Amino acid sequence: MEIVFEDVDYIYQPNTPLEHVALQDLSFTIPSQSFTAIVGRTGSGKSTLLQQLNGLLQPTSGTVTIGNTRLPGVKAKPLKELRRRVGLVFQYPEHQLFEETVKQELLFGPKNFGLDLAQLEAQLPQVLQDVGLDESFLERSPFTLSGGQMKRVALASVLILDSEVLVLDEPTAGLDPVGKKQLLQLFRYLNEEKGKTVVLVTHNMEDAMAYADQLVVLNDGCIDRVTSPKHLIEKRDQLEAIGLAPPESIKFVDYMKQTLDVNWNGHEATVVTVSQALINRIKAGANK
Amino acid sequence: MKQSFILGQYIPRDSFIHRLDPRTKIISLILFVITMFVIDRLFIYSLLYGFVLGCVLLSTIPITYLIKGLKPVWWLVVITFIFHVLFQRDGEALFDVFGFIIYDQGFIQGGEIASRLLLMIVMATLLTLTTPPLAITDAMRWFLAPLTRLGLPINELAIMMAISLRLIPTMTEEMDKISKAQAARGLDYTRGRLRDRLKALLPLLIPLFISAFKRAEALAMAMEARGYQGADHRTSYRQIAFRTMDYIIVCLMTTATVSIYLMTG
Repeated sequence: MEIVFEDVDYIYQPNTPLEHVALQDLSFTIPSQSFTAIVGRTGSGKSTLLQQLNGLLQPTSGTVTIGNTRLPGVKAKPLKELRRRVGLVFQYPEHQLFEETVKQELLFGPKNFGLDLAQLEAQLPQVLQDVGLDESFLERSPFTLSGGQMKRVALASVLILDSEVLVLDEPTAGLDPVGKKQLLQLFRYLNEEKGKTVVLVTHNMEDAMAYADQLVVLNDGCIDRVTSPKHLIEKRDQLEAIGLAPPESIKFVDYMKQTLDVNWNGHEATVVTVSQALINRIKAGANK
Repeated sequence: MKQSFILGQYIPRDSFIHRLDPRTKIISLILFVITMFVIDRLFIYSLLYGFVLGCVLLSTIPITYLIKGLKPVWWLVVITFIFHVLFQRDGEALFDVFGFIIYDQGFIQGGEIASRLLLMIVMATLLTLTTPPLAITDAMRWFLAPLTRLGLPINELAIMMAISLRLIPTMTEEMDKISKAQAARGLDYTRGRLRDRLKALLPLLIPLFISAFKRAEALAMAMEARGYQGADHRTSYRQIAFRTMDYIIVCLMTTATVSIYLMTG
C-alpha cells in the first residue's frame, strides 16, 4: 500500500497555551512494498509521524493518503479497517500486554477486527516461531516472561494480523544483539518475501542503513531529506548537525582513509565488506 | 482525551496571580468558598462572578482555554440547574411542563447551587493553573506543620502528595500510550453497548496498574539508593516567602469576607 504525505502539519493541543507544533509541512511518499526508515534525533517528530500512518493522530492540516483512505476526516468504521491494514507496533510494546495467556494476547487483535479465529489459531505456532519463541509459550502468562520475550509476544500480536503495512517504532530497543538481528531479518523477510510495506522508525543509523531502501530524515518536525542509504552516506558530514551519527563501519573507513591513505570507494560499507577489503590488502602486501 | 480536562494542570506564566505566594492563593480560595456558602443574595453572586472574572484576567490565562478545558464541568453545572428547576417545590408556581410544575424558587436555588459549583471549580482550577504542584505541596506542608506536635508525619505526607502530583501527568501519558497501542490492535471503547465498553476498559487498566506498581517500586529503590531516610529535618531548595503583596491580598480578602458576612448575616 502506498502512503502519501501532502503538506502535513500536526499541532498538539492547538489554540491552547500548551500548543506545540510537532510536524511541519511534511510531503513525501512511502512506496508500496518499500522498506522505509524514518530517522531523526529524539524529539524530531518520529513518533508523531508514525501515528498518522494508521489514524491514531490525524493531521491538523494537509492530508495523508494510505491506499484508498485519506486522512483527516475518516469515520470510525473505515478507521478500524485502516488499522487492520496498517499494523503498528509501538516502542516498548510489552507495556500493552494484559491477557491471561500468550495465546489470548495474540488473538486479542484478530478478535477486535472480527477475523476468523479458528483459522488463525492454527497459525499461532508459526507466528511465535517468526519472533523467536516456540509453541510452549502459548499457554503461559505473559507476565511470567522476560522483558525481551514480552516484547516478542507483543510484536507477534500485531504480526498475526497479517497487515499490508507494518509500522515499527524502535522495535529492537533493549534487545540483545542476537535478538535484534533476528527481528530485523524477520522484517526484511516480510518485506522481500511477503511483499509487506515496512516502515521502521529508529535513531540507529546502523540499522536504517543496513535494512532500508528509503530513508526519511526528520529534523525538528520538518523533512530534512528523503534519500537512499547510499546518498546519505555521501552526505555523512551533514548528519551530525541534525543529531545523527553515521554507522561505525563508515567511521572506520573514513579513519583508514585519513591515516593510511587508503582509497576507499565502496559505499556499502559493512563490517564484513570492510574487513574483506582489509584482508585482501594485507595479503596483497605480503605477496609483494 | 489528554487535553480535554485541565483541572490539575499548570501553565507557567509571569502574571500577578502566578507571582503570589501559594499560601496566599490557598487562603484566598478558602475565604472565597466560605463567602460563597454564607451569602444568599443574588446581587452578591454578581460580585463573585466579577471577582472570578478579574482573577482569570489577571492570570493572563485565555478564557477560551478555561471554558473549553472545563467542558465536563459545564455539563454538571447545567444538569444541577435543570434538576433544581424541575424538582424544587418552593415559592410561586410559574408554569407547567409535561406535568412538572415549575416554581420560581427552582430557578433561584438552581442558579445559586450551579453558580457555587461553577465558581468553586473555576477558582480551584485557577489555583492549579497558576501554581506549580510542588509550590502547592510546600504550602500544604506549611499549613499542617503545627500538627507535627501531635505526632502526625507531615513531611512524609507532603512527600507522598508531591510524588502523587508529579505522577499524574506521567500516568496520563502512560494511559494515552496504552490506549493508542490497544487501538492499533483494534480496540474500540468508545462505541458499542455499555457492557462491552466497560469490558474494553480492562485492556487499558491492567497494563496501567502494572506499570504504576513497577514505577512505584523503581522510584522507591531510586530514593533509597540516594540515601532517603524519611523526610524529617530536610531543608528545601525552593523557599516560599510572603511578600508585601501577599500580606495585602490576605488582609483584603479577610476584610471582604467578614464584611460580606456581616452585611448578609
